Amino acid sequence: MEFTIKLAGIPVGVRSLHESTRDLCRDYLTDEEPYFSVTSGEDEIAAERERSAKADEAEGRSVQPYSDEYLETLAVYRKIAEKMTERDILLFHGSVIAVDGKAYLFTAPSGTGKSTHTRLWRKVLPPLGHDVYMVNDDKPLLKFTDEAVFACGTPWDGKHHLSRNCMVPLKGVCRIHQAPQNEIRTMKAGDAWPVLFRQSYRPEDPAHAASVLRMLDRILTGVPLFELYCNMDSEAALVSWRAMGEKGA
Amino acid sequence: MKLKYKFVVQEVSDGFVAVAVGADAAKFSGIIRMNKTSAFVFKQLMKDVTEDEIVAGMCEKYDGDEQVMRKDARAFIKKLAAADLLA
Repeated sequence: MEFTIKLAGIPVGVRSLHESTRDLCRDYLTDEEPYFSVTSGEDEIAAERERSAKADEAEGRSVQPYSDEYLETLAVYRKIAEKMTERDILLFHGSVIAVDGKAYLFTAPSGTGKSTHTRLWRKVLPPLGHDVYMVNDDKPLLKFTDEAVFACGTPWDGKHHLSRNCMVPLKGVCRIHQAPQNEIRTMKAGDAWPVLFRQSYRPEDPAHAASVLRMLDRILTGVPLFELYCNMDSEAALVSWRAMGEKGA
Repeated sequence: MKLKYKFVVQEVSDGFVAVAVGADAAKFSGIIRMNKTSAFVFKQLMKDVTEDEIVAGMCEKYDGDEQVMRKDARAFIKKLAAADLLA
């Protein structure tokens, strides 16, 4: 399978074994000439399987059986993410929602409730008159230009497949913690680096590490950072929106 | 003494940060934040050096009291050792 997709404004050639990968990418297909290409074959799938098994073991889970098709999608995105670090584009783990043309990213370890929280924004904000849509529910690309940081939709958008092929200026990043009461505050300077580093793509090539750190520095200096302690009530969405959206940039 | 892992050091808006790279990234997944002098000490530790060698290097590069520099270097080295980053 050979096809080209446009991600974060960059046309990328993909060579894959499975049609399901092209299918996943259907909203991003383009006729443009690729700037670069990535290939995924049996070796890459096997490497992803091993990686995934190691991660399961490290977290005390039984090894999850994933299909070749699914693992191929991971392998392809990993290769794309690696090359994108050379183009001021960074893969970041989080659920990104756009409100009135501005993007807000919620991050936390898997299972904490990022998607749950952005779902509350989708429930609560439209009745108040806001234009709301999901940019990417799981693994957005962040694009760094001279003027701004943009959150970008990609086909790698989580289990509920929530994304739009768009690039929206990023106006807030928030780490979520589960808590009985809803409360938000600015992230402490000392916490920002470990949080951002933990949730961003870790490059395989040492030569890309410096690029990643420079991009994280752009987030730190250019995007307001928050810590949210919240439950699953609608009120949680109002608490975070008021601090990040209404008062924010 | 020497750092156990291979690191990349990057200057950023609020100082310097360092992360392990290559195969070592799996062994140390944290990020180290430093100011200018601790970054200097850190870079020295990429080779096998003694405390005296580090302090001599600091005195050459920076103006200041040697005792203070030694104290700062020692404190930072202690932190690295506590994080099991030194061989």
